[in-house]
Amino acid sequence: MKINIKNLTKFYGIQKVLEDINITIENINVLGIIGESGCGKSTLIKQLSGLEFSDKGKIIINDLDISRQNIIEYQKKIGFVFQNHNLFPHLTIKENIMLVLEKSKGFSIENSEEITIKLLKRFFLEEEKDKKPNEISGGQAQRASIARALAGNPDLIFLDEPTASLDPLLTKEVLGSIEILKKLGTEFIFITHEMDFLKKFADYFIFLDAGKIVEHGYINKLEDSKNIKLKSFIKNINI
Amino acid sequence: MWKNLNKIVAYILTCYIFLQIILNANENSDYGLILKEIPRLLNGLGVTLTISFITFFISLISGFIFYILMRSKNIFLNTFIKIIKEIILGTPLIVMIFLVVYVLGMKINITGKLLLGILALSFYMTPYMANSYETASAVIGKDQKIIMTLYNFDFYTRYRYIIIPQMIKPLIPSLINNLSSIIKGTALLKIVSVKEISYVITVISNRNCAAIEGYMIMWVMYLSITIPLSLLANKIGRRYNFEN
Repeated sequence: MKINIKNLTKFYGIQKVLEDINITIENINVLGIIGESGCGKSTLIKQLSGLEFSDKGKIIINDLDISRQNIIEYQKKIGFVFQNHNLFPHLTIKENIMLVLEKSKGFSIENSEEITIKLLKRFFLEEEKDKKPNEISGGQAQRASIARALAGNPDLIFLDEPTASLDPLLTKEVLGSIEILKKLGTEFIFITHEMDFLKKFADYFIFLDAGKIVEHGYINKLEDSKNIKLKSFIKNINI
Repeated sequence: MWKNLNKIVAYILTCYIFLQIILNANENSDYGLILKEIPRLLNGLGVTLTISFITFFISLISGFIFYILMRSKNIFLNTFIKIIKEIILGTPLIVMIFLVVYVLGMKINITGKLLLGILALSFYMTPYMANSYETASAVIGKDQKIIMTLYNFDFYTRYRYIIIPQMIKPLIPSLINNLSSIIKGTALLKIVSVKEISYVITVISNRNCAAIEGYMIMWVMYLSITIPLSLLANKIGRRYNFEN
């Protein structure tokens, strides 16, 4: 994964949510974004995924400029997992994945079905394929959401606090699915509040505070950081 | 048990009051004067129902087009439709009927009162139908809209696979209520001599000097259609709320 962010600034109304972000990261597979609530993590991931556009600055991911002109091309290459599973409630798990493959990624019905069944098997959801999201557990729904994000073999997956709304047992279930992503060599960018999650999966981390990157580096440098804000964040998280 | 008993008493009391109004509407009421012409009454009822269902289907489509245009990102189109909607919502049905039958009809050289009547009712109901679609579409949350954007679903995919299937259930009670409004609205078509039920009853009651009996029978006939529709709308609405 190659990320190049230049002078990224984002306002919501008059409030500056991201301020002059500059960073270049290369040769990593997994990027973890951490920070206190309201520090701009979700806004940053929305900019990186093209769900929102910045007021100023530029984002280049894997040599593609994330702009309105390229957004359709870019979004065909990415997947997204939200805090809540965001599956379409009237469709079954299988239909949720097939719809994305057929209508967004352009696969035929037969291919979509074949890929969907493989994905459901991989995420241990085969028995749940004909159930609707409200008929399965939160963990299963989030796993289905990860499977959907993986549909069409995207170059990059974004995960916005995928375990935030789950209890510890279901969190474990979802972490198992993220482990599958890691084993598959899928490149992904995630937001988390959990240090274990970050250390287990991320190759590189970004620590945001009040809309600015105050620390970043390879994950093995996390504990050695001299940054006071990051140290305090880690301390508070571990309490 | 106590709840059901209360309900039964309320039903009996309402029916009693209703019957008293019908039976004592006029001294020496003679409903036979109107009811002796049952075939004509049924014919009028048939015309009322035909107009209502045709209007319903036309406004179902025109209302959907209106709803789509209301959501258009084209500011001119969006504003234009919103202004038209406000004008129609503020226009009394009787004025709409006159406008369509005597102004529009003359301009486009159509004299068929039945056709123009249906057109007038359809125009009138279009914004109400659009409002029903708008309300039902609230079921599609922001999260789902983000997913649709993220996966670049085109207009057809969004509506065919995501929006419409979820809109149907919350839409049905509102559509049934709109059908009920259309049925009641057809009564005004008598002013342009469309031979629906209220026109037929007015003619029969005028001939027999039985205006009050005529209106009472008209009342019962409309209620016999609209009350079952209202009950059906409530039942579907309750089931939808229960499922959610």
